[in-house]
Amino acid sequence: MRVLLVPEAFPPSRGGVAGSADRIVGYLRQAGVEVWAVDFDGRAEFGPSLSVTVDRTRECTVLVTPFFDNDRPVRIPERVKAVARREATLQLTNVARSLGIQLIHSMSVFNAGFIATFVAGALARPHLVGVRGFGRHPFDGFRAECVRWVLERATAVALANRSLLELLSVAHPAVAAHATVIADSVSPRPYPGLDAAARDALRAEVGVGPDVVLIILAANLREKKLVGLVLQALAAVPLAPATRLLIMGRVHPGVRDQFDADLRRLGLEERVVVRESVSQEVLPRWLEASDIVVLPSVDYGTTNIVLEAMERARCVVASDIFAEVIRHEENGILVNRLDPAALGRAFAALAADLQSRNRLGTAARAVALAECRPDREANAYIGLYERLVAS
Amino acid sequence: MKVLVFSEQYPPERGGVAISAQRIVSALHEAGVEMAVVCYDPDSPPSDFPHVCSTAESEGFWLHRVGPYFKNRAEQLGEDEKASMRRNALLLVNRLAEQFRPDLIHSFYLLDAGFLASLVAQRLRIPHLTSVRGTDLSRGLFHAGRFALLRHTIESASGITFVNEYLSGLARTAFRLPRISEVVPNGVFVAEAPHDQTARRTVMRTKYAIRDDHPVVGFVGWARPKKGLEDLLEALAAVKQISPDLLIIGDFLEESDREGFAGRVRRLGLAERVAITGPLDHRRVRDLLPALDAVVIPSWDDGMPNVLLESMERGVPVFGSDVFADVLEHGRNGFVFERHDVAQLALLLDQWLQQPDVLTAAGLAARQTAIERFDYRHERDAYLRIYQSLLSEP
Repeated sequence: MRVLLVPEAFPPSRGGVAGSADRIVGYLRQAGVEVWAVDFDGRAEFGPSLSVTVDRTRECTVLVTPFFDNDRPVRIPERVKAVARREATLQLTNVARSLGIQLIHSMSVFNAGFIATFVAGALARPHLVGVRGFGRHPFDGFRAECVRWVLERATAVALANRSLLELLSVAHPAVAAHATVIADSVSPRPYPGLDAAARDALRAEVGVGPDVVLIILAANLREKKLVGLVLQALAAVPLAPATRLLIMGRVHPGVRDQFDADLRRLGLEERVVVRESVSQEVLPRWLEASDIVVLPSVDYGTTNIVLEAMERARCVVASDIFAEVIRHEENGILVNRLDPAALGRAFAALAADLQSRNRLGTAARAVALAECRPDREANAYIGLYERLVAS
Repeated sequence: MKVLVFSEQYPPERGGVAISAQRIVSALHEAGVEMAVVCYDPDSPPSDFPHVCSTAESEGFWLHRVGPYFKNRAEQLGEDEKASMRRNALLLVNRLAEQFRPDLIHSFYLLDAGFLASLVAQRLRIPHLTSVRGTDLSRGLFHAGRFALLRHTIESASGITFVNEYLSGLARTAFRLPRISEVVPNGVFVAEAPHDQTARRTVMRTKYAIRDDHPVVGFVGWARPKKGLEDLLEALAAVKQISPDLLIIGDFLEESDREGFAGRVRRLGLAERVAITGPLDHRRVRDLLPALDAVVIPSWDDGMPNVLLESMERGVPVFGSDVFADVLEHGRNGFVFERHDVAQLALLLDQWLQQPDVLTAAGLAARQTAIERFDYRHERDAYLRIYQSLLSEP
């Protein structure tokens, strides 16, 4: 079977979708599926001369370059994006045709799913629309109709978790009735991966000593991860034992001023460190070097970081959107969305209780290894592919 | 039969939509259809009070310009302001339609003319034929902010036409099309064949300071990124055996495009080989065409540019990208290369610009194609037939 996988991002790009795509591609190829992955290159400087070619330097990869990156601070007008989408669509259709693609699997509704819908339509091939997080799209007057169109035209829809299905049931009930949940997974690695010296060295890179309670938030800070919420929560945590928040990601220009002002207002300049996101290979080491991993998301989205933190036996504090994998006080702590006081109480309690952190972390790793296996995820996709191609 | 035409542009505005709308309206009017035309008032600033300027055209129908509208300022205005302008324009067009009482509304260009026309037609309970011209679909389809209005316009129309197969295919991939859905290519007025090329060439070379003894190729129209002018420059620089000059018959819409172009010309060492006429009226463009050795249309994306058919009608050979493969037959009535393929274009220019006999033969074949397939009366008759089908539907 020959599948064109169209993720919004693919390594060497960073982030949750790229990580998921990499993992899924790897396990599908291991299982014998010929997967061609599309890499929308937002790393190169964006310009009008877009090209779509088979990348001879990588296994079965189609490179679309240069493409726009919505996380970049430079604003690109929508009409210019429209031209890039059109060029990507027309050229990708030709490449997919020459490769003899039998099925198209997109991994985000917009832009990947939008472009993939045209490609699938032009080739008259089935299109599996993967939903890994709607962001604000269902509430966005600009994109809502595009999202609806992609979902309605899909041959099948697969969601990365049940919380997405809840939202789909409200926003697009007819589509939800036929959608499938194929839960995210995490690749198991040997544990522990760090000895004490390596752990201390990593923490020293961001100025955090071995005895400080290190909380990691691995995300680009846009409205989504709610900057103010985490900072307010941290401000409510007593100064002893010492706690530090490490933000691994970019503070988006749109929230930078608010972020800086909140840091000053709440007196957190010395307790918060920001550094660029790291690659998918390095991220587990950082997670393991931390004491608490926080996921305060309000949007329905992917669970990659939660699963990776669990696999590294970390104590996870997450918003209740992650109730599908985190069982409160069994393998992590859940707090209500948009409740800084509850988040602050959770931080304070865990910061003072090493034993609880260890207990929750150990349980989290056991659940991740038992219930979130990548081979199970890959087999679910393969079963779905076979049904779609056969039909 | 009374038809209200709603066109995104109309002369004296320049551009393909304006020229095509005027050609089609005039031809239909001449054939006995009672016409009225609505378009936008392009000069009216957003602060103007909503208004209609109505003038009697020399051909004997009314032209109504509705303003203010955001067409030339789309990037500077917010969505709320655009929505208000659409609503105000709709009120004014509704009034015009109530007075004229058309049997049918025919829109040219999907957004915003087609969108507003669909609402007017719905209100009057009459058929709406919408005509897709080019980027209204091929770019609008991929524009998140226009997608919803585009979908509404197409799926609510009673009939739809496209100027080429490429656009028709795109729309079919995306939407449920109306029962009447056809490709109606542009037409061209066929005049007597030009016979004084040598004199015209001399005048042109003098006026635009173009070198003697080198072939001249023309690029005609607004030099916008989608038109592939960058590819043409790269190809000219790559041509090895001859040294053709380029005359741009037109201008740049945006200053940034002009600067980018000038930088590229310098970088490629083409400064002595490129001349620009600046904006010219349509008749002047037609007069200049026979003075060229060939016209190059290297578009990445396009509808059916008028210059394609006008060059053919004037007997000028066209080197066109494969976007125009349903008109140009490679080696017979023109030369076709894959869009974006600079090397292929350079090779074609190198090979054929030094063979005047071949160019002449291709030009003659092109003129014959224009006469046989694209005479404006074919276009007119196609629309008349579609109108009758729409009006005969229950």
